[in-house]
Amino acid sequence: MDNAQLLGLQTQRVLQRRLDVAANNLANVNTTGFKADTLVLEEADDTDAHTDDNPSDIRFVRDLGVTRDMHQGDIAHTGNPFDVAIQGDGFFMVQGPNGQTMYTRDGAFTLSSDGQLQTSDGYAVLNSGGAPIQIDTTEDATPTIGRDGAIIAAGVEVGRIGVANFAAPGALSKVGDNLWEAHNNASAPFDGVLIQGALENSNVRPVVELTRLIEISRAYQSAANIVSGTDDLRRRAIQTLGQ
Amino acid sequence: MNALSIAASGMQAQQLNVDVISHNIANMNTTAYKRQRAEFADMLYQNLQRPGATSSSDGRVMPLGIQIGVGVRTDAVARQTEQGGMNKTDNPYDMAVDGRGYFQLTLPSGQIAYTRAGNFAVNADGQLVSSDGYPVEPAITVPPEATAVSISRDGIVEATLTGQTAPQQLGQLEIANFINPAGLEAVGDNMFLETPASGTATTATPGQPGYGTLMQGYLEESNVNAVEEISSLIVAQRAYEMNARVITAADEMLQTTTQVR
Repeated sequence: MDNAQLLGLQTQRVLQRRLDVAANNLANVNTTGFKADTLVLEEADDTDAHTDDNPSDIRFVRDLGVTRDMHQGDIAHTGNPFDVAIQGDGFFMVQGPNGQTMYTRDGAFTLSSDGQLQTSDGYAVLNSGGAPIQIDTTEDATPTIGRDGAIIAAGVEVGRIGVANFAAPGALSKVGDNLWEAHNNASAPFDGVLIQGALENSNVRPVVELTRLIEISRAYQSAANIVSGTDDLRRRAIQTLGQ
Repeated sequence: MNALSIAASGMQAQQLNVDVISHNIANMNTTAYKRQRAEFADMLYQNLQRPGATSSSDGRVMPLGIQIGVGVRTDAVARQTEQGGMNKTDNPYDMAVDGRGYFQLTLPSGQIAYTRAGNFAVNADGQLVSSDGYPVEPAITVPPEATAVSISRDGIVEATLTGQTAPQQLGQLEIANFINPAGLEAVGDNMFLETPASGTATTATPGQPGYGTLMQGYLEESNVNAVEEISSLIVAQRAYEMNARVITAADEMLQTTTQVR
């Protein structure tokens, strides 16, 4: 097949993936603590599409990676005493299903029946030392959570919500359920604050995503035109040469 | 192309969000109703290239991965147990809990149900019952000759009987408390049942540490905030529309493909 046709096909494949990413962002426009994804594209450096008669390089487009827009989502007041939002960089630490530490920006916590601070999926929230946090609420009506994460019940500090911060956000990958997995240790100091009774909204910007949606549709049509144009050209060549 | 199913998951999530919001608005005037909020989480990710993977050509480590999400799911519908406002009714058998705690009602099965709605009354036998007729636990019986019934902040029920000057104590109400009240199971009629998530009920007289006090002649209003619900409704509706727009875009792209030849 012609290079033009292959290039058109690869472009369409990448655009479909871009649409998937935009669709996932828009589906999560109301997900607490969600961070928008962007597909990063590059010229493929190792798959030159040379042609014998044309010495100039033709390069395919390739998806290089997904970057996360880590900017702060809006803080929305909920009034629930166990809702906590992070203002600034950093992640809450939770105990994953196999005991490993996982990270989340979703601070919609509750207490389990034995007084453990948990996420809404039932994963234990960890303190800075990596241990679950136990709160006895029978003594005090509602504990207060300080800006530094200290949980004060009946005037006594009963625990401190741990926040992990990473120097490179690329060191984390998403695993679903609003959880993230780290590939490096938390390295940066936490310089933000925690806000009790509030949650961080998704940072997806609908205008950006909808604009991207239009752009993807149009680019896809152009790529399809390349494919059909090449096809046209070849058909005419066969017809003309066959005469 | 996953976009179609991703957008469908987004539309389903927003549909449920609208259901939850409409339930809140419908119960705006329900005594002691606690508003709910739908919480969402992203679904799992397809790892087309894990972050930190080694690139095959020259051994460099990729700083980014290619992770494509597959949509959104509903994580929980959480009940917000914030205190509602107090509405003065002057009905002697209306009670509100100021602070934490639930009234206990005995269901016909003998099971205990919990409620914050204290719109009580006395039945033909003089027993204190809920508006649906379930007896309040511990049982309080008001004698027919009682004139003025008073309920103190700590739950002591007293009545002045005709011909007597000193009021007579009829009993003391107890309220139940849970470690995680948001984990109670709502069964309708303003009642809740204990679940493994809520923890077992601990009962005490009102005013004990960690328990609220009773307010006679008041009812707790719902804690639904109309302005908040309407603005959430707008957000949910717009989010639904945006997801529908993704479906249109994906459809257009597929149409383009089928029209290539």
